[in-house]
Amino acid sequence: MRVVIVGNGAAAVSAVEAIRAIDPVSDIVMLAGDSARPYTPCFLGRYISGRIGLDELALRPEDFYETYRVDLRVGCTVASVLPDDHALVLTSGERVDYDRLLIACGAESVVPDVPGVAGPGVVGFRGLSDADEIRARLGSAQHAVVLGSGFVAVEAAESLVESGANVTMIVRRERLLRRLFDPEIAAIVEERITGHGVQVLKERDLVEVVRDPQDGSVRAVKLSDGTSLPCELLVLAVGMKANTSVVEGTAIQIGDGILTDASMRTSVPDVWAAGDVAEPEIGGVRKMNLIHPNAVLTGKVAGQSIAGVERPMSSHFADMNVLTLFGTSYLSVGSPGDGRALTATDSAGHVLKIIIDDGVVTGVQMVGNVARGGLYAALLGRRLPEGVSSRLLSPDFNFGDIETWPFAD
Amino acid sequence: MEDLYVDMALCTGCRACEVACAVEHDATGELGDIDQAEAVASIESVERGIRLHTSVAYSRFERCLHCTNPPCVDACPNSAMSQDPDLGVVYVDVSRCQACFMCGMVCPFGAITVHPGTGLALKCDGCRERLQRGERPACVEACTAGALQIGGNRKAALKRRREAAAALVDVRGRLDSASSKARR
Repeated sequence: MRVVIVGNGAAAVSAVEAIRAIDPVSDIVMLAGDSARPYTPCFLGRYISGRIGLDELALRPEDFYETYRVDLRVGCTVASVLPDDHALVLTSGERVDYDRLLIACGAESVVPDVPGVAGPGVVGFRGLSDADEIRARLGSAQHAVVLGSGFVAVEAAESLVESGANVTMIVRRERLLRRLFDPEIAAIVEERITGHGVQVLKERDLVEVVRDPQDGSVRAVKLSDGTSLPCELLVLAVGMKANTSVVEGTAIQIGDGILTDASMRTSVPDVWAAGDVAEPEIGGVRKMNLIHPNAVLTGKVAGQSIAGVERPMSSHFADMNVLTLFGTSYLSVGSPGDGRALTATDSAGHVLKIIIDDGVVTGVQMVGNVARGGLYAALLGRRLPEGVSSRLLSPDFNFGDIETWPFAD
Repeated sequence: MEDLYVDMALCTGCRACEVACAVEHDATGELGDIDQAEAVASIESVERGIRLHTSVAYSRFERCLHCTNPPCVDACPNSAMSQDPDLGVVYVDVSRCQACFMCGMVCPFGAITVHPGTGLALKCDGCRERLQRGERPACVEACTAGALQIGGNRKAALKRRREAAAALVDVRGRLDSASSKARR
């Protein structure tokens, strides 16, 4: 059997390991884009600011492809998939046949449709090529603007400040990180980043990128309130878009991502999708979840299925994320809630919030020491027994407590 | 790894396990990593891979259970967390750890903490090096009360299963009576 994998990120790597654990003999061909070595986008900010190098971004050791006997082809861009022929065509014109195909080519930054956005100096924040371009431009850029208010936007802002640029964030809504944190925690994050020199302009949007008429370089951005901000670099962080273009026009069904079942099979036989490009439907719920652990999980499930072992997911991976900004960590699991929560704070500024809706834990938010966040995340969706609230907030709360609780679910 | 059994009924709360763990995992071999003044002020600064929570009301231990399919290994973005293929223990390569705490976000046992000195992920490594030498983990070695035991103890495993079953029956009983009350 010949398995072809498009992409070499977390989902692809995890699929290779899952396939090889079951099937040591089949051929595996991996079509990689810009980077031979699989890397994580999780630490791009630290790479941009120079705190870490390429080696720390690596998902796996250099001998990964050799160890797992993968035929790696770098610099391949897929032009189209031909499911009826069990083949794909590269932009070079080369045809690659497959018996089973995994599409794990990830996502890319959304580009807003405004005048002047196309061209040098406007960069996304997703891949190594984005990071390298930002690094190259930072030498001459004094002023950088980050468009967006989410996780990626604040991480981009941190890396640019640490690289010595003057940074302004353009935030469409009234606050940062509204999908992750309630207003109180969002304000703590905002205070942290503004304290380190990031200027945050809220309730404004980008309307135009102003370019130099001679050399086309970025000179300024025009905002919806009529003001103009001089800058030499604009980083786009207003969301991610699945790289579904490779399957557009085929019978493979697309929603926001490539639609799959709980085993990561697409609507077409012998084609699977995993990671940021996939939109699985599990228990009647379609959802995309662009975080590293979900890419690993869906890659593993797809790999097992490709190798003939069906282990469909029984539920979606919970919404969760953790970020560290200027040395302080922030964790969010589940729904950010509306501010009503069990809350514990200490003199060091650590915060633990447990959001309980009608007796059921619906979210957890933490500031500072977040390492034990999973302990609280494990309670998500569970109905708490009476009278345990104070125990939850105790610093020595422990899984031994949970074991003894009579859960009603 | 070989199952670690903790019989909290035998635990005297002496915390020798915590100290033995800290000594074992101290680069200097004699608690040189630990701030002595802080150690006097709070036991938390000494705690490493195993922690005890003791009070008059209850006594609990906290330590990595070295899961068969460890979610922390899957969650780690750059392979700092891995599972020893021979011993089954899960451990952190601190030279790769970026302190992102994705591992802690997915560990349902809260078994990962922050190293008080380095700020990196800290967890029980199952005393991997000792196991490779054929020795028992430091915490087990240090437990004179016999609360911490490792491997091959079928009697202990049986006892634990019985206790778990009894607890379940007890919980079910309470739930049943609660729901029948609700119906009335």
